[in-house]
Amino acid sequence: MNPHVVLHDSLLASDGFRRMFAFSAAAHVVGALVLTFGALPYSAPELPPPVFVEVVADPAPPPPARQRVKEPVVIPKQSKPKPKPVVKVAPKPKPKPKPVAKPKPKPPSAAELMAQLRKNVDEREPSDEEPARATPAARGRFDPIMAVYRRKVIALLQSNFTGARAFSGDPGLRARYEVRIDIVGGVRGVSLLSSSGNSYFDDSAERAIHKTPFPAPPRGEVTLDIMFQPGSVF
Amino acid sequence: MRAGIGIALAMLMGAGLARADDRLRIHVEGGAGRDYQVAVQRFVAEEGEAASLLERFDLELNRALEFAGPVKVVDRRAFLDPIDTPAAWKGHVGCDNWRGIGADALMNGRLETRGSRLAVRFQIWDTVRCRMLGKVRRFEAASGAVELLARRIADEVVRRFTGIRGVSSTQIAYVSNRTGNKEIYVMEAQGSNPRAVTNNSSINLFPSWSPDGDSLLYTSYRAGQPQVWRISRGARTNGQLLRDGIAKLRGVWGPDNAGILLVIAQGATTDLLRIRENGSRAQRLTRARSLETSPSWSPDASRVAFVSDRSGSPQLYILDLGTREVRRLTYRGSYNASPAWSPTDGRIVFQSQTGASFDLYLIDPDSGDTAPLVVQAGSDEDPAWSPDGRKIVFASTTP
Repeated sequence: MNPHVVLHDSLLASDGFRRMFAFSAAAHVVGALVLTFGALPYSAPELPPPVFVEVVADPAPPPPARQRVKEPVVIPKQSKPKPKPVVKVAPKPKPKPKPVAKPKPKPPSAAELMAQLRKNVDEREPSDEEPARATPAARGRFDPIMAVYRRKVIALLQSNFTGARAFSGDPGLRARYEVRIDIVGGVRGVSLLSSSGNSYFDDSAERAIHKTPFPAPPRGEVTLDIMFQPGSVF
Repeated sequence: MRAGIGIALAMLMGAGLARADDRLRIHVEGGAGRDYQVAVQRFVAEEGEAASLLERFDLELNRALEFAGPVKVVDRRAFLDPIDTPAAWKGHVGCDNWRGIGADALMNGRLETRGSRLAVRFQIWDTVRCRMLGKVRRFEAASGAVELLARRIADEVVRRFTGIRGVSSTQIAYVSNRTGNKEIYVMEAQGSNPRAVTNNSSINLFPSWSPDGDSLLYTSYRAGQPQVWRISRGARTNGQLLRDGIAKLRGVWGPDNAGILLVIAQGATTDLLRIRENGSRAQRLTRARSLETSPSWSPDASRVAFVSDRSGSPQLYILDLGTREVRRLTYRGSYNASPAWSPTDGRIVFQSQTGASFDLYLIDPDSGDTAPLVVQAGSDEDPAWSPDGRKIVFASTTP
């Protein structure tokens, strides 16, 4: 007999091989399960999160449409793969010295904007070195990249917050705002979730939001839930 | 067992796949913050007298704005738009150029004279949200009072940001012995134009403003015995508050209609008395065999901070005017005195002795939390708050 065949037969017949085969089969089944069912919740985050902007009664009128003008200017410049902070681009002064600014440039339509955004996203995703926003490990757990972003945003908001000093004598004030930040760091919606009871303090918080040059969020659009409170000497 | 590992792995992955919370919670507390940045276009002036007053008005407005509150005036060299208010100034302004240079607001307006009166109209634009902040206002004063007019306008600008008027047009009452006698003086909040209120060559102490700022209480020894006197602007009245023959060491005016607190001498000790502004309805607040002095009202007039030596050393106490309960507030240090309750919030500033000199501290009357405010080589004493609760004036031996 061919020794190889004998070997083969005995191998097939051995208990050890059966166990291995059984485990291998079980592992494949588990793998298939993971791929099939594990993928289901995975696709859910692809849906855009809901926007709550208009729901909340806001005493202050929404930011005028004029403000959105600068954001479309920014988007086409976002050709590099790395998201750049909009800081330098946003306050671009217009060359014309006279404020004959009645005929403002029309903001592009929503469809145009979306097309630009999509193009932008398509361009950057393949070349992204950092874990993409859909990386499972990066979701639902401590995320150092978002932690850094968060710290940056806090520092920027603090440095633009007039209420810190102006209301330091009333440290009990609390104003909570919800702010949607788009992929290039543009402010897409500001709503007051709970007022401090002092409209001037609320105003100082809203002012900080509008003056802050938000960096582009590293994992795409994000909703900030911001609590403002004055500083205290104690 | 290996299948167990596989399932654990699957669960782990499942956890990783769980829907992440897209909301990023952020807490912004204090920090360095910043002041409101206000760009001020030089006002336009009508030909004639108004034009000649423009320079003085402009200078004082810029100075007063930075004194009045948490405001920083934007340097005109940074302007992208003209530094002068355009002739047709009312109404819409282009906000982008102002927002671009970091301004929160743009202010401009016009000066006019009507006979001997100077009138100023002005507007403030919120350049961040591009809308008017309040309405166009008109302020008027005698032409000679152009600086005062500028200060009143600056205080109004601060009110539109914070809800509380600025303090550049307020005054400070104080005691000076520059003539050799302790007399009461009044000066502008920024220290200019000091003038004597009393001139009686005796001893005059402890000036206290009425809530409307129109009258002062002060202690005078001019009649031999110390008495609380009252003087009004234009010296319409200047006389003893009460003529009851009881020596009074100090009178402190309360907020609104809360009345007046008096420190009365009772043999070798002193007590606190509360009276109405017209002198009626006297209420004894303390009856201790110790010295009770330096009362200061809480802003809602429900409590009084004062100094007592009932424990053996001068310490701060809080008296609840409703329940008449007295509670000791300070325990650290052997000499705590001169409490002044902030007119806008809960904090009390007081002086505390370290070695041979005093330093200033803030204390929260509810929690007792204390924070050093002015600690330096010299002695810092007798603190008093500005009406907006943002500034403290005090006497210091530090040059």
